Amino acid sequence: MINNVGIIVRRPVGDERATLGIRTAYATQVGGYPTCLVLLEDGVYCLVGALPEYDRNMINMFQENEGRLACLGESLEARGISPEKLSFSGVEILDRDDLAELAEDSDSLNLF
Amino acid sequence: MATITITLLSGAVENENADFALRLSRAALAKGHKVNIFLFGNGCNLANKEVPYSGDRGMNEALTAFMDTFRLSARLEELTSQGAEVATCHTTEYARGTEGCAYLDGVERGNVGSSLTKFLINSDVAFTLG
Repeated sequence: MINNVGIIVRRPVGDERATLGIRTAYATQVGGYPTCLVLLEDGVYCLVGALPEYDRNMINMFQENEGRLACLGESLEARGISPEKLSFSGVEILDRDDLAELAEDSDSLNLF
Repeated sequence: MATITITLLSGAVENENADFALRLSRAALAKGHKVNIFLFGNGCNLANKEVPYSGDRGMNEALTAFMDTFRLSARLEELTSQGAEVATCHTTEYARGTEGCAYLDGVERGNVGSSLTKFLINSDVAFTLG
């Protein structure tokens, strides 16, 4: 039985899989599965700068529906992105232990 | 027995994920498990019936045999005939210009908001491949 979902997006803006991951996170959250959307590696680029309107709206709607939005701190650091520059508020900054815990706690973990 | 949902993000040719997904599904069905497959992104390229070329393809036997290993339509239909539920994302089909193409037997038009979440309701295991 799946009660919650973890979505990990590793792809940057412009890669369809990033949008599919974000879209899936919104769908599962709204569909009744508490979902954590984690952006890591190049996926953190989905949280900064000028995003396609669809991606931005999906992330906003995901948060408005109480979805948990997070990213891996070391991915930000590796790309010279300071947390203050994120385009969304309420983004949890995770370390590796947090990520491991999230993976352990997720009934279904999905990588995009 | 478990219900397994696979979200397949890769098409037939770009890597071995689609081949693996179908092998895994066949093995799971053979063990009595239930299998759902959601074709998403490039995975939606597996959804449609083949459109054979009727002229001379200009491919020798060795090349044809090699390329045949990437053609998964018959294997996907075999899975649906054995009870696998397969849905595809019409939005990602739209992006590829294939939304109006005929589906393989047993493949249903769908989307992430309804098809995938419906699959999850009864799933014991769900993950992406691709």
